[in-house]
Amino acid sequence: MAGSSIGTAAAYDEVVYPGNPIPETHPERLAAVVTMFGMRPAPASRCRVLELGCGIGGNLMAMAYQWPDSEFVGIDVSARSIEIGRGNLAELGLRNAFLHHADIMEIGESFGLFDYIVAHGVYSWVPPQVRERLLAVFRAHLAPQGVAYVSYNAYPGAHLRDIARDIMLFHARGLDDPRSRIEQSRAMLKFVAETVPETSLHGRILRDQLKRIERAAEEVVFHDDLDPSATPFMLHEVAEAAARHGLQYLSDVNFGNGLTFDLPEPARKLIDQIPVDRPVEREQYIDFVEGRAFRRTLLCRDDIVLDRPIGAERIRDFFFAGRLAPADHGADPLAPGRTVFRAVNRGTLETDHPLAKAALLHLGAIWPASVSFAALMDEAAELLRHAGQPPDVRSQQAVATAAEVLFRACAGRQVDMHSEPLRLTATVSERPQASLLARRQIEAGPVLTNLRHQRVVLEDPVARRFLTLVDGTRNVDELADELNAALAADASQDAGGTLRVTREQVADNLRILARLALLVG
Amino acid sequence: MNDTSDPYERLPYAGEAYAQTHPNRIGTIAALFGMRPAHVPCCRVLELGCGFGGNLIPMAEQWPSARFVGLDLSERAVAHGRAIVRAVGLRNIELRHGDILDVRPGAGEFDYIIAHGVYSWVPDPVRRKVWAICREGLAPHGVAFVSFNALPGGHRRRIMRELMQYHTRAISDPVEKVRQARAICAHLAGCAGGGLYGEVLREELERIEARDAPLYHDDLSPENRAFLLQDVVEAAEAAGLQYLGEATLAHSNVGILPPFAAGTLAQIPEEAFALREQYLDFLFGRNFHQSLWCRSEIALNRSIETATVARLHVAENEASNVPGGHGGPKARDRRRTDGRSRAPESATDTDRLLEAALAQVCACAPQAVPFASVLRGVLERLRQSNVKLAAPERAEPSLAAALLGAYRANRIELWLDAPAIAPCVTERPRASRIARYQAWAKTRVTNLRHANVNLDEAQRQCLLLADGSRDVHDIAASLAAAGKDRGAKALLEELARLALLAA
Repeated sequence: MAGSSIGTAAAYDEVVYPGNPIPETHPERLAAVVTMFGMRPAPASRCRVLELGCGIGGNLMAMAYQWPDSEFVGIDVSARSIEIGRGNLAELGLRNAFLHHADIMEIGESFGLFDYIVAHGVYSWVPPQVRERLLAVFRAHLAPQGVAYVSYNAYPGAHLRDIARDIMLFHARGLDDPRSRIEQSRAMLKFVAETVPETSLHGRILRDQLKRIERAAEEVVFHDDLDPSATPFMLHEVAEAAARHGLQYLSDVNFGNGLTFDLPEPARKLIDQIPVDRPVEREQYIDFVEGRAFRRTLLCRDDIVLDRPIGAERIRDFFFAGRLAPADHGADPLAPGRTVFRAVNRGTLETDHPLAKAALLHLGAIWPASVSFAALMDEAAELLRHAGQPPDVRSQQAVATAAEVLFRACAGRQVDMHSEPLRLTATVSERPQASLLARRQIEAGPVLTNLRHQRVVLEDPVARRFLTLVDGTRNVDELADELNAALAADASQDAGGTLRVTREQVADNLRILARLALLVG
Repeated sequence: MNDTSDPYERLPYAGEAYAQTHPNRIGTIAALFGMRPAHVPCCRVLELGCGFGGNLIPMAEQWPSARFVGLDLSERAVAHGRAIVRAVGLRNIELRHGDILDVRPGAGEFDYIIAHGVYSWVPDPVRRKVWAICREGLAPHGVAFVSFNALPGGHRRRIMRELMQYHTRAISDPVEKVRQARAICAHLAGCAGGGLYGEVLREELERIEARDAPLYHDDLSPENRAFLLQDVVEAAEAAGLQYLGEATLAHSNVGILPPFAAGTLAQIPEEAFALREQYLDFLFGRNFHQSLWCRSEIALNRSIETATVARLHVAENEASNVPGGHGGPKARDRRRTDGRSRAPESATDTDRLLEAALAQVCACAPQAVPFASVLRGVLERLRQSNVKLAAPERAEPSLAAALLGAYRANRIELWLDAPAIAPCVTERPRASRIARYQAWAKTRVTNLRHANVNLDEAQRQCLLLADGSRDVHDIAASLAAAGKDRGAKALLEELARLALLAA
């Protein structure tokens, strides 16, 4: 979290913002999105990334570990966050990441140009002059084909959040201690939400907000809801501000948010009247329809000519991963007719196209691994041949249709697209190896970053101990033996009963680590 | 024509009577909280942002010894208002064209200052000036009415407001702007899903589907801010004013809350009255405040004394005239707190007195009757129906307490003074000149309770004839075909019930 005023810096020193990875900011995802619009972004494997308001560097550190030939620079106004982050970098021995305790106002020419600039959770939380400066830094430090990511609280959705915020902020006024600010304001929102009858819309809004606040991490409540300076914006306001700095609106980080095919018919009609070369206007109306409360906006230099509308053709350059399974377990997913696929946490998608069905089936089978478009088509065709389908399944026409289905699946986020293959293994090798980053992180606490740049929490002490042993030097038997030896040593200290793990349990746990995208080899 | 300098010309603000701004009601609240407000017959009233005088002119006609001054920025509106004043022949009202910022100190002393629909729609310096005018212009026991959009309830309204402003940003013609704004809201509300956000859109659409002018001058106004009550209180306090309360006491009725919540609010000390109201905003989600203010050196008494109620006038509350919809308690919730549904054997003196009082007040409607006369009528009713009070010697304070409870629950109105309203059709029925003036052009007129009523065509024609020079037969003879069917007598009785005939 970057800020400029001293007060802001102090606030972040007291309640350190969680240093979570932000998957949407990962260069290989950003690269894939902007390629759709005709840009030629630097590859994640060889790029320069700047993060403004990097906190303890949790986001950058995982990227730096994954891409040793790329360079990652982070700045933050919180001295304590930077200190913690530098300690973490040193422990990992990372030499391609640099964290600076600095104000965004201090960024000078010496920083050079970057292929990706990320500002997550900054724009809505800083004074107007810092917002202006942020956009100026984007323009001054973006490479010609560079991409900037800026997230902010968004109207109109944030108006509902503001109702709860006003109540919490008012109740916490005069309280300085962060802990009591969080506790008191939560308690008041709970009181109000539970007092107002559910029959009133006001009551339902408050209950909904209470649910959100109760689920949110304390740090998030403190910095997002209890920061009186947090200001939401409409997309068009941010786009207009960016335009004044020589930047243009590219897309939402989820490019599907700019497409209309998932909208109800009357909304689609309204928005499709607006020409595709006016993306801000189109997406502003989409926000009004959907009530979005948070936006992740990609910007680029205004001299770049972008391709609009985007189409399915470009996705043939990408790699795909999808946690998909047929919704109906009993039926043959490749039988003629429509098959519904369920994506974990991302809803469903359905298709009746044989090659597309086989492709989605294959993605589910190899999760969390990624596969190139060409290989995916080959595998899908192979599946169909096995199922006794005619040999012309991989015709040009069929591939084009399958690409269209995949494009929509990416737009709906049921399938993730990447500009480069994920560096992980979904299968358990002879001597499996968990990522070094995860093994180091698990020594400090239960929160890990996996190889899909996501947060994973491993609370179980045995599982944590197990992970440290999965370093590529041991086979299944050795892992079982060493884990049992370690557990026995622990047990003799605690005078408790000895827990023993079997070879089968170890094999199961290795498969779990693979599914969690924690194995590199 | 210049739309931007005076959009009033293209789309006049409807501007009508606002019952809740009437000194008679404002004065009641002030009296209940221990002030000595000026009585209506001889009071001095200033209205900031008076428009064409839709609110002040009916008051001025009704109270010829009171003095009224109105100020508005729209030259057209003021010219329009002056024409009405001339036509109606009023000498106790002055409408001035001018900027609030240009009001000089020493512009006179007022017992009541009204700023309705101003505060949220003007820039900061004007807001500060409103407070300065109140502080300098209020008599020692003077009361100001200031309305504004309130947070957090107001956040919901901003969704549609921003949509309308964005959608119509390139349109300058007010009429077209309103048309397009309305269309996009309807369209969007139709598109939105079944979630909470969709519900909010649909509810806002209902609000927007009201009349044209408020939409243009309110939602589409470039200046439209909502405030936390507490922030407004601080601004007023900085100017030497204090928060007296809401113009409608029922909007602060904690009786509709669950007992545990009412108990929690009761922990807030009485002197932190505004703080309690702030928490009520959170609970009720009120999005509009109609607040009363007085000079900060006035010592207010927050525990209302029954003796004060005994000095007031009691009137029926016509549900149709209740200015509601601002998040205050709804009619069906109110019933929970009254005594009507209790079993007769457990009835207290308060229940018995209230029941008789409501019947008495209803019988006197549309008149407002002095408390003493209500008491007499109530005792007579109890005697006739053989109901005995447990403590007959305490009948007066018990009745006052019962009426106060009914007032808090919005079941009756309490007025400082009784306007001259005919209880029934008189020899030569006379409607107010302003109502007859209004009835020439439209079917919505201001009655003698300072509320707006809608007339059908026969009633409208009858009203035009009821000028005090004709008796029922003359009126019957002059009625057009539509009115003849119903008969002049029936129509006049309807007008009397609508509080349109003067005593």
